[in-house]
Amino acid sequence: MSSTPNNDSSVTHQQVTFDLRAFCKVILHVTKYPQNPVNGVLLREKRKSSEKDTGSRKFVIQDAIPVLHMSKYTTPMMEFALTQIEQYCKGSDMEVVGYYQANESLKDNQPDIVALRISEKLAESNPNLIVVMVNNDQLNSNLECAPFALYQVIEGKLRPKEARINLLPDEDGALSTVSALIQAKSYRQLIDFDNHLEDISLNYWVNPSLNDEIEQLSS
Amino acid sequence: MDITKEIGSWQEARDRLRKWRDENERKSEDVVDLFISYIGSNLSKLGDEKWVVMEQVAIASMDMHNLPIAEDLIMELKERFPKSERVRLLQIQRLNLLGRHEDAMKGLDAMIDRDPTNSVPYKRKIAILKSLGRTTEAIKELSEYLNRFMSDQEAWSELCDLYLSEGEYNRAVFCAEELVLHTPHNFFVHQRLGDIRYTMGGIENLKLALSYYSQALKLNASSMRSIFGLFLSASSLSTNPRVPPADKKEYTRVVTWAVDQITKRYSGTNVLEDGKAEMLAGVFGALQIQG
Repeated sequence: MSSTPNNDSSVTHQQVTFDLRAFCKVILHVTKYPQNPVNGVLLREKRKSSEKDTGSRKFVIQDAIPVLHMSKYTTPMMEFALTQIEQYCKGSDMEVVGYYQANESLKDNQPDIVALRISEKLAESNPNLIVVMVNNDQLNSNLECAPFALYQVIEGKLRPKEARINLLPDEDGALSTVSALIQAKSYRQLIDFDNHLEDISLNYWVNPSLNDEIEQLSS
Repeated sequence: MDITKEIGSWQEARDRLRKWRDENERKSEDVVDLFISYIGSNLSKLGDEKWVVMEQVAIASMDMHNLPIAEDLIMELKERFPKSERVRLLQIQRLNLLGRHEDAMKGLDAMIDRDPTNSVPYKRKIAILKSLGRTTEAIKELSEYLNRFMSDQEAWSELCDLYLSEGEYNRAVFCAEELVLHTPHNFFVHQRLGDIRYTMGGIENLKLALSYYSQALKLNASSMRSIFGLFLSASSLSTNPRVPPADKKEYTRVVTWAVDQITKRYSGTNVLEDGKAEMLAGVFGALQIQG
């Protein structure tokens, strides 16, 4: 990021908007592995160099890549995944703008050492990184709002971030689509990097068949 | 796949549940679905098998946080088997789900007093402590448990994870090595030691990681985790300025071999079609520069 990122964070990101695809993938990842800690990254299209960072541009998270549901306390597989994702982003004009994590325990929604370590690493290339912790205890098949708590990396710590969470196309639409997906058990289609390691023919960075299902159920 | 579409009658449902019990498959979601669609209204036709099916469904429905189903079943089981420790475990699990963790743990302590050779209540207690995020207490209980049940590999594995979550790598290594002694031919335990040593970092740990990953690959040539791990540790060693040049050469050879293997495996799939093969090439470049 070449433009002045610091001004950016204080002014523009008072709203964090999740596009349907990103929102559904995060929720379905957690739903697929209710007993495991899960994590992944959040993406958006790269801003064009011609586009001025005026602050009016909405911060929209467009997609999510599910990464782990096993062994989050050791680093090598996450490291490999992040490098693959970085290359995927380069080839498709996307950038990593966020990290999400759900903890193992129902009551525990706090970011831990793993969340901090990975966020710090990602924040090296994007200081405005959004960190999303999933509130496990708000998760059920009839969601009433996005069960997310936002954080950001400030001086080596994860601090709560004050921002409104918006869902696209609108809150009701996103929540009813994700509920329908859960009811249809579409989370079984969701592929994360751990699944990819078991069978490398599975595409975790795009999740093509899940994208189709999201498309179908939202239209 | 929706299980209720695959199964057409209560007899088939019964057979499927029996199969899962025999094979120790939990399948909680499917078990509950089969109960709702087929078994619930036909319980009386199951004869003596009814009770063990009820236990199976009670466990599954609690996994799925479906307490109403579980409560009816547990009540009926309790009437039939008032002194059963198995039914007691179900009741305790229910207390735990209701958030009455201390009551649940008291119940488990009482079970342990009645029969110290039964490993189940110990493990339940540890699971509750873990779910409450009380990691230090969980570690203590688990260590005590392992003094009694030293050959419980699942417990060693769990203790290893708990130590990792606390960043206590040397203790985690101890547990993982214990697992290697129990099952030296299981590739997974070698790969896990590789992961831990790689995480610890530093030349000596990276060398150990490399040899654990090689061992894992010898035992299971198809393990992608092990081959990625081998690549990462060799490539980190081959670019480390404090590694002697002669050794570096050797590590570079390992890197080349691993890259070759990984590329071959990816080209055997169509996952990197539409010009995404450079994604893979990019990974290798990026990682080697990072060193």
